[in-house]
Parts: sequence; structure tokens; C-alpha cells
Amino acid sequence: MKTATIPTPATRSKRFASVRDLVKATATDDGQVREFDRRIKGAVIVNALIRTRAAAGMTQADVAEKMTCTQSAVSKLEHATDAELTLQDIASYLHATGGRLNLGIGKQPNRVERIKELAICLKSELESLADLSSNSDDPSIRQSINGFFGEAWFNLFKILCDTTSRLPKEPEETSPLMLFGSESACVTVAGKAEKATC
Amino acid sequence: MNWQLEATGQFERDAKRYAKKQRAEYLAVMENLEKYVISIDSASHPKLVQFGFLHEEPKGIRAIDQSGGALASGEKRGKLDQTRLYTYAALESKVLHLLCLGSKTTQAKDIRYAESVVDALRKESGV
Repeated sequence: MKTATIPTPATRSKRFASVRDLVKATATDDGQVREFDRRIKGAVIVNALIRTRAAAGMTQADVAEKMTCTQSAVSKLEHATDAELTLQDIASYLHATGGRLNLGIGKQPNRVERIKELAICLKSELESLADLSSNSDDPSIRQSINGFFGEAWFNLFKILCDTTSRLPKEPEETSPLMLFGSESACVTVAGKAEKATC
Repeated sequence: MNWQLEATGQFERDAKRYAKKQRAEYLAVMENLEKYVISIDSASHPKLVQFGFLHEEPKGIRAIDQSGGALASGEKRGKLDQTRLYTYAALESKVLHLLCLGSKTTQAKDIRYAESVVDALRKESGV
């Protein structure tokens, strides 16, 4: 029953960081919490799709129009479980909301391969950004991109210095850093990572 | 920063009653609340978030119902009683206030109660 008293801040009770915490606090038994978890875990992809729609500020009708389907079809999709979705549903929905779909098929890459893949992506993105700066007539865009390059250079160099300093100390002849050659400035700085002013 | 949830004492009592007496409605409405919360976390403004289970009420209150539509497989969900969870999103503090939870028959009384809580919250924050 609703109380007739005027609510004050004192009538407020607890804060909850998540809906799960709320369910945990109000459910009658663990079975209800497990059922809630089962539903949420069964809709991880669905909820990720919903996030892309919310981030794009789109309604279900907007998405339906782009997917050339009805609004109720979008609603059904958003209440489906991951197991009920098809790859076509996911791709169409993301195409409509401007979301991104990354799908990797193949052997799990090892760490070195992953770093190489990331380096290729990084190079490609930096090249695009550099082209954008070169082709822009707007000095503020050029200035912010150039500034970003300085920041990126600093951060990447610092990451390399910090991680290199975690390598076990080896005699210089066997150090992996020697691969770069003793004349290299990189070797000089990386070899004295602790003292380097990155 | 993500939105925080803040439940009134009334809401907690209502939720516990629903969890005990109407388990299916309780879980359905919590599932919809989860979808609403993840959406307002991603959206630039809660007003931009639209769902079939969301209903606009006076004073910026939004009610979340139990509906979930048919399953994608075409199978129908079990029939659930009409349930409304009343919320109010306080933009400045990024707190989603959970005001009360009730059925279609208690709707008018629930809305009056929710409005009085929102009035108190607005008075407190000077909005």
C-alpha cells in the first residue's frame, strides 16, 4: 500500500550499482537471482545491439525503416535471446544503427600475432588521420590532429619503455633490444628505460 | 559515469511483494528495467530512449511495464498481469529513481505517489 506521507529524502532507501544488485536485494530466493542472471546472460548480444541504437539516438521505428521491416519486428528482435538471433539479424540491425560488427574466424592468434595485427590497424588509422590533417583547410582540425600525434607518440613510446623495463635483465649480447643495432636511439633509451625521460 | 539506481522504501516493499507473489511479472519488469538502464547509459539523454514497454507519465515520470512482445521464434510468451514500475531520471545527479511498483488497478494511486516523490526530489535539488 502506498503511504499518505509526503516523501522526504529520508524516505529514500538504498542506491544500487546495477539492476542485478537490486534483484539480489529484493528477490525472495536465490532461484530468482539465478533466473535473472540466466536471462541477462542469454541476451548479451541483444543488449549490445540495443546499446548501439540508444547511442545513435534512434527509435525502434527509425531502425525498422532502415532495416525495411516493421517496428514490431525490431521490438521482437530486442526481446529475443542471443540463441534466437541470426547473423543476418545482427548485421542488418548494426547496419541500421551505424554499429560495428567484428567477426573473427580462424585460429586464435598468439600474443605476438595480435600485437602485429593491432600495429597494422594503428598504422592504418594514423595514416587516415594524417591524410585528414593534410587535406583539411581548417587550421583548428590540423592543430588538434597534430597535437594528437604528439600525444600518441608520447604514449606509445612510454608504453614500450614501461613494458621493456619489465623484461628480465639479460647480458647485452643476448638482449632482444640489440636486434635494433647499437647505433639506434631507441636501443639507447629503451636500454635505460628506468632513467629515460619518456 | 553510469547511471545509479536509487529505490524508495516504497519501491523496495513493492518489489519484494511482487517477487513473492508475482514472480513472472517481477522478473519481466526487472528484465525491461535492465534494458532501459543499459540504454540510458549509452544515450546522450534518457528522453531519447524509446521502447514499447516505456510509458510517459506526468512530471517526467516514465513507467516500465512487463511486456516483452512475442518471442523471435514466433512462440507466444505466457500471459502476464499488467505491471508498472515508475521511474524518474534525475539528469544532474545521473540517478534513476525507482519510485514504486504496482498493477493496473493501483495505477492512479501509484502515479499520485510517484508524483509526490518527484515533487520532493525537485524541491530538494532546487529544480
